[in-house]
Amino acid sequence: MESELEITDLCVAYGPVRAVKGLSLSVPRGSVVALIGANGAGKSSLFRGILGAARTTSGQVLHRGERLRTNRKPHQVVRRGIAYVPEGRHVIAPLTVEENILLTSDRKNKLSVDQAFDLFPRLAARRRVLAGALSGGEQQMLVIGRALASNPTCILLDEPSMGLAPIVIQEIYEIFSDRLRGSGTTFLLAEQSAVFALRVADMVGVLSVGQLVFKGTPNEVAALGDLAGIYFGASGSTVNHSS
Amino acid sequence: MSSLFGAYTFAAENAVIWIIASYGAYLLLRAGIFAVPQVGFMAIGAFASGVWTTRISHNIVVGAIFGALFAAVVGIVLGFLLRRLAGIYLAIATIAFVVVVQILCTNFSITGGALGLIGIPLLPNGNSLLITLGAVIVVMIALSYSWAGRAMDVLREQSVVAAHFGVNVGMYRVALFGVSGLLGGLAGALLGNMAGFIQPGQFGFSSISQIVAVVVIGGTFRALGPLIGGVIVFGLPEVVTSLGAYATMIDGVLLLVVVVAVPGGVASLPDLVVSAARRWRERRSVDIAMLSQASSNAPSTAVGSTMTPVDETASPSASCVGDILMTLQSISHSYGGVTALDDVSFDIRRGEVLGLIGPNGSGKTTLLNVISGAIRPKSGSIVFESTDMARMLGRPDRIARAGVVRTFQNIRLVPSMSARENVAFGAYRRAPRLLVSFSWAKAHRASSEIRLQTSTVFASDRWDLPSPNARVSRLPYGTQRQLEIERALAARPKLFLLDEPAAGMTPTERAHVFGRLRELAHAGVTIVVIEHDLESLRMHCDRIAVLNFGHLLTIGEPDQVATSPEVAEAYLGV
Amino acid sequence: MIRRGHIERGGAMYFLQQTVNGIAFGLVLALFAVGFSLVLANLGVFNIAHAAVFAAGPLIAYLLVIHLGVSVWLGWLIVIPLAAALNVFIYFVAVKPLRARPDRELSTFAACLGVLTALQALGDKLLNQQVVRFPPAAFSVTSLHIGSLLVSNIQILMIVLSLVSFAGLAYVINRTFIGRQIRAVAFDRHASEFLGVNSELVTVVVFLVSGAMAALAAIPISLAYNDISGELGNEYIVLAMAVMVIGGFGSVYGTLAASVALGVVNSLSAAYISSSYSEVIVFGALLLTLVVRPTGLSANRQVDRV
Repeated sequence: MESELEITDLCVAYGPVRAVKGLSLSVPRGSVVALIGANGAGKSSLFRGILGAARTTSGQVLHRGERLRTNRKPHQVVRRGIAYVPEGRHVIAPLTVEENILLTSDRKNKLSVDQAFDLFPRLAARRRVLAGALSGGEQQMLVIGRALASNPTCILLDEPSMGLAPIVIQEIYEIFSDRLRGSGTTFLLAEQSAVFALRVADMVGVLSVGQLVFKGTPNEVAALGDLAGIYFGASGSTVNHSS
Repeated sequence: MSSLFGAYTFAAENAVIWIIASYGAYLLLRAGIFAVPQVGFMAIGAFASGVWTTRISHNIVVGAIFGALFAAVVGIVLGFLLRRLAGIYLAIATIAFVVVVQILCTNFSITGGALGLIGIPLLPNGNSLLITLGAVIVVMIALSYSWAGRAMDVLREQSVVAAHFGVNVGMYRVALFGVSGLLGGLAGALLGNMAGFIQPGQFGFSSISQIVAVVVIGGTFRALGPLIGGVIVFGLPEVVTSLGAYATMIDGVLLLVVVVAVPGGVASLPDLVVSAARRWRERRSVDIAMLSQASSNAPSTAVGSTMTPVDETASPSASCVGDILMTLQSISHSYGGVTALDDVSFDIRRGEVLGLIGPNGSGKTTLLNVISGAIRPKSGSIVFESTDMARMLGRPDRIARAGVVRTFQNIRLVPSMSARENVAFGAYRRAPRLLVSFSWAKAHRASSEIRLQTSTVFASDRWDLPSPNARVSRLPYGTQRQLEIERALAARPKLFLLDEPAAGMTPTERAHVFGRLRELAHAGVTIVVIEHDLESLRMHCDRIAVLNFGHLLTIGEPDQVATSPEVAEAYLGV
Repeated sequence: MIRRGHIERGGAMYFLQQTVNGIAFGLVLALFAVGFSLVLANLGVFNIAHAAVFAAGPLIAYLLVIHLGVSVWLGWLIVIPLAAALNVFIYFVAVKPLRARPDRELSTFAACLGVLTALQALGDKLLNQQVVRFPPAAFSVTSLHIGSLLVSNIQILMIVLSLVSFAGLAYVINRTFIGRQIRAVAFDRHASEFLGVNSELVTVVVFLVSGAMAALAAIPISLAYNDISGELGNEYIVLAMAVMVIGGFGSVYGTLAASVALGVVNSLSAAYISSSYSEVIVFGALLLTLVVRPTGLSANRQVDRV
């Protein structure tokens, strides 16, 4: 299968702190890859490194075979077709729902805005509401819809479930399962709460202290005896790799 | 003075006066207060003194003192009125103040209207000006070495830290505005005494540029900055007379160039040269591996003389270890429609290590912020050692003085201060207040005691220490974190809050940090630590509290909590 | 500061006349203030050198008229893009290098102050230290009677120009792609970058627009009050500051309303009390606003829908 993202030996650092240490991962086109791990495991740092928002000290990232420049700026990466939804639902509050989506919409493809509304009917009903007035769940839908409207090849979703009530997370993940999965867009999904991610993913990677300590299918991960240990134990956990 | 400067006497006297006024601006800017009311104070002082000496008595000294005090009072009032402003708003407010003062002076008949006052008694010579300037400079230099001066530096670079170590930010602001007024008023009065007349037109918008130029070109955080800046700004056109009409233009370009290329001003150039030379000589960085090596060799259960002594009042002898130090009752907080904390209640026991854990966004840091005073909770109460903290909630300086200290998620050392100075600042709340203690001996003793303890920190062989004079920004990450802990301990806290102290550390470093915390608890310091590594908490904590969605899920013994199904569900969702 | 009308004192007509004078001035001042506040909302910095951009317009136009015999109107047309370019130049020289500084606000203020000083001195040099005026032949002031009101052609120009410009600005900010981007960057620069918005480009556009608006405001003012010097901008920048704070940074409506109010208050108090006390009222109102409601009458530092 062709690869969407090919990450090789990536190291991401914030000043002297190394947040990601030599991570390698191949993300196949059209798949859903989930990255799980505790706080500080490096999931957000990895995304920021890919985007160019954090300094990568070594390694490289290939997007559809083409190398991303080392001194890239986030908006350049996004223009190439890699959409990013950072954790915390950063909607542009003084803009309406519709205007938020129009910020990223692919102007050559006018259908993309309607597609976003079609996917999230709740948003369509509130298209002229200021984004700041939406509920947490609606804001999360907005940022995902906004990312989709740019017609990207690949979307990096950082902790979409953070701070949301379980029933809202359920709704979002159902839409994800039904409509987005298998649509041709590649999804790289970072989550602290594993349950939903495991349900929708084709492949799961477990991160701990900046390194990929396990990679496999959801079933393989669920079968891991010591998931909690790997998750929580920063010190001395065994490293397993599935084939 | 005329013998010294000859034909340039007038220019020199003018320069001296404006330098005195600039020191007032320097005080505010050094403390990170972006305000430029100086010229307004000068106008007030000039006219107050002018009116006094032309109508009441011809005594120059009394007139000058009157002018200075009048302006100081206005300064205090202004500082109080503008206490909630910061940044650009504050700057604009002070510019508006200057304009208002100028307009009022232009319109009051007592100040002579637009033509101003004439017939002001003259100074016999410029010597008194030089003496005044000299005195101001001496005071400024003394200030920069005093506790107040250190507090100002920390206020500028890490204002959150300043408040959390006991600096009453509001009071400093008002006081600095007052002193700034005093200096500005004095300078204004002297301006009248030098020229014999004053006009409102002298104290307008363009004079603001002059003062800003003097302070910024010279250097906002060096005591000699305004002096050097004044010499350059006023001296340059005199020395290079061929410039003529281009003098002002050069001033403007010079200001731009200095701001962009030499951030600390001309006064900081010697430092830049010295540190560049040092960097060229010494090794580039301390290897983190070396640090882990050294720290893993240090015995982790060592107690005794190598440890920072703990405040007597926190020792377990006064009360039993295990009794309740602090009680949180129904703490709730929300902002922007998000509930950050929901009815959180629990006790903190004296001498324990309490771990605080929970998924992202569960409210851990918010809880710490409430306890340390950074946030005022919407509801709930806290009782600390049988005292209701109601009057201290939301006031980190008061809570700090009660004996609570903390570290932050991000490193908050003061980059411009050395390692020793950073650690010593932690003792601010114990620093002698000269005005309060009324005793030189007592003040001196307290100061030496603090200095001794700081030296002890650096003399101990526990960890691979930086040189006390090292610039903190170039130290390795782990060392910076250690310094933050030492700084907090210098305050001799009863309660020590840590927000992810081991974030980004290797397992060895992490174990070392937690070992240290364990020892501190043995010595009677109560510890509350936020961590996401459950293993570390399991090994080192007496109890663990778990937060989820702002709710206290459970609190209890580590093994209990780690195997609790609710916790697993909250974290893993399985 | 405000010219009195030629109608006799007292009476409703006089009041109306002064009000119209004030509105015309206020509308034009609003152009200047809004441009200034867009930059403030975009970057959070105080581009005090904007005063020099204001002065540059009439100054360069004057030089073109005097030395090249160009008509005032053509000069004006030429000057607008030049002022825009000057503002962008100021961005690259005094603002951009200081973006990452911890004491960003102070340093940028100081740097812009340096640029302002230098440009003003340059302007004075070009005018040989004089305060000049457009030659009377360059344009003629005529007055029209609208009912019993006396309105000069300059005032009509001010009103029409401002209203058209604000309508255009409103359209751009509310309905166009770049307008959305400007609002997004003013609100959250980082998040906007992650959405593919080139925030640097947006900033340059804002500086361009801001500079152009300063020129648009400066020409009619310099025609009306007919004195041009390097320091022309100083008086108006302080007024613009007052208006921005009272109206709220980035709030176009707020700034517009505050500006018109300022113009009217100024005009009326100059007519009925004395011209200097009107300034006291204005700045007193500014200080009062800052003490009571530090963020101004409008909410956040963002660019609202117009």
